[in-house]
Amino acid sequence: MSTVISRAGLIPDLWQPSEDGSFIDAQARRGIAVAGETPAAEVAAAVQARGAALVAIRIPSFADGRGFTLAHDLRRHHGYGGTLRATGGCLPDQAQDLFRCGFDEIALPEGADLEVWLRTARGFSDAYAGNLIEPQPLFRRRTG
Amino acid sequence: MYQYDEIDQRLVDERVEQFRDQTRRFLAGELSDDAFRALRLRNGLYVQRHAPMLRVAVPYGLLDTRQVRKLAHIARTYDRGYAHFSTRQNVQFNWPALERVPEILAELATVQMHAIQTSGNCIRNTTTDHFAGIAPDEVVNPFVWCELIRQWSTFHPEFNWLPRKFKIAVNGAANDRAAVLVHDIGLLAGRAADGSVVFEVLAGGGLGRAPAIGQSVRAHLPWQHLLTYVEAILRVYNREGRRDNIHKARIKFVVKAFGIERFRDEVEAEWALLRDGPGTLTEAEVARVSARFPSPTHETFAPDDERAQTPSVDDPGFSRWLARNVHPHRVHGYAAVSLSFKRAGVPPGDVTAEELHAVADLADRYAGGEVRVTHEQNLVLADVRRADLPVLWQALRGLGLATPNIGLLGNIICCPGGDYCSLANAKSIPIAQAVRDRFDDLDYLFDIGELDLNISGCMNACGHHHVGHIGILGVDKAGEEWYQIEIGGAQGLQASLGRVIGRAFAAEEVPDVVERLVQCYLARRIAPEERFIDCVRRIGAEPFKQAVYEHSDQPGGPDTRSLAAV
Ligand code: SF4
Repeated sequence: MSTVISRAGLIPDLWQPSEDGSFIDAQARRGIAVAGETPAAEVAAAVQARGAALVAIRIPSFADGRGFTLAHDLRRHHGYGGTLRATGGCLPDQAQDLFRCGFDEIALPEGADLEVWLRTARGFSDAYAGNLIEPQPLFRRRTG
Repeated sequence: MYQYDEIDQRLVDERVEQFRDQTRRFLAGELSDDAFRALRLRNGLYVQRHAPMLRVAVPYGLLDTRQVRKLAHIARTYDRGYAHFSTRQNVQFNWPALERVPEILAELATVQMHAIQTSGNCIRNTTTDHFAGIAPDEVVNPFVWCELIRQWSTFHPEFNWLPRKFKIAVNGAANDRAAVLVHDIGLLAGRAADGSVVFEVLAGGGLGRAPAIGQSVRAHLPWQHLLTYVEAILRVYNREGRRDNIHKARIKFVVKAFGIERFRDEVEAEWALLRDGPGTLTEAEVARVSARFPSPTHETFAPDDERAQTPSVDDPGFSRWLARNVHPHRVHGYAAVSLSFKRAGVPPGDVTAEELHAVADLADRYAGGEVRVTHEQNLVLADVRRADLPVLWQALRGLGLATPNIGLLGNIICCPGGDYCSLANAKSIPIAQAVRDRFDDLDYLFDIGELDLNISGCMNACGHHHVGHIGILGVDKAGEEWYQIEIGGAQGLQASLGRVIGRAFAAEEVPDVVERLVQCYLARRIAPEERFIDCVRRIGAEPFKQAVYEHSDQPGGPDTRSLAAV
């Protein structure tokens, strides 16, 4: 079990890791784990093939931003509507951007300070560019 | 400059609070060195040789005098009384204390300034022509487009952790003064037949290692699509850019590896998915942003109105200053004025708090309260009435900022180098000073004519040495500082990259080498109008190499090839 947060705060971890690295939940739905550098089309094909309802994207290091684009691409270009989870080495200071790029939840690293994660995930009240949470860029909301 | 509304202000304030919290966590041991490093870089904070260095953003080089005075205040209160203009139109402080940086950022926020994304592997300050809005050869005023890009790229959730830094430049005039050909994305704004704004989009240019000239990705991009197209390029780069080798991580390596056709196909395929989506710009937004730039008021003069003429002053110094430091303005009766920060005994681009105050006072009195930072590390007052030129000249002369050397060999572009920068192979400031001192005679400088000399302390090329007519690069050879000389580089639409002429030199040899290059040019130019760079292009590098090396004591010197690969 991991400590998992969403935009709303701390949430229960519904997914059990199984031995082959995939996940299963109480309704026997499947989840898959992929590396952040995997091409989106490959992930989308794996989702299809396995009927996955969870994709856990492993961010190798906070400095590697491919996971942000992968999440975006799965949502926007491949129409993935299941749960997107970030795992691995991200920083609390990245939480808000992860959500904006289409992640629903973040499995916190060991020893994470939950209070810091929850606080930083709400750091900014708005964003200029359109994103998965607010598809309308700020300029469209400013000028109608 | 663009005036923030309450949303812009709130976001910058929130950024200050975020960084305050990050600094606190770091000092409390809750944030690793690595993590804090990445986060502070995105707030302009480096840790340099002696102390932290804070790089403050000056979006597209534009400042109002309130901001200039705030910079002076910060220099006095938090630094050693001076600041430095960088080659990307930003301002740097070399001695702030790390714990006080959140305070500095809070002070900056009160005048709508920040240090957001001035370093780190993210989208940096968008730069442009320092004569934007006033140049007679301008077709499109680039400021609005720069600001639209600034807002889009600020805190972009997806593009804050790129393979490497990413620089965008916009130019909207017949001549390119923004070096768009050597940026990750270069945008050349022009007009379609119906008068609407279109961009030529270039990608893959850049200095640093493996310098490259940008290639055209799309020849005519209607303005509505500017942000979605840039987004498509960034997304392709974030997916495909190399992360295994920091020296091959810039977008130019993707463009090179793919070839421009495949790169274009990838970008166009991505753009097809974004095109006409919510990121498409609207007339309302362009109008909103335009209206938030103060529009300067100009007096209208009749063509023969005497007040529109430059008064004559019986002083050759004034004529020289007019010839070099005063630039044409699209409005009759007005001119732009360069303030030269290339002076004896002062590192290029350094400015004291007192000078900042004095410049702000002059800008308020004579230039509509606006000051611009140029990538040549000077300042420009862009809106000066010609009638005021003599008194402004007097005032600038009193401040030591009227050296008539813009475009001449004395106007050396120079990075901070080994005196400050921890990445440096060699010092650059003393080289700039030695060369400047050698060419101190103004008659001689004027005779030599236009000549850009640029110096970088390492391959990162912050001093833009590849595009200097003469470029000097500091290299490390067995722990010693050596200098490689290039000739034939140029900025502008005819941009070219300089080529190394041969073995590297010790610091004390450099002024002699420059002198020999200059002598060779003077002996071979067909007319004074033929500039150094034109002459190099006409006769090639060989005569220059001979001039430099035939008197040289160590023709075999340190191995050029291995130095060239540094
Ligand atoms: S060119 Fe090198 S030495 Fe000069 S400022 Fe840039 S990184 Fe530092």
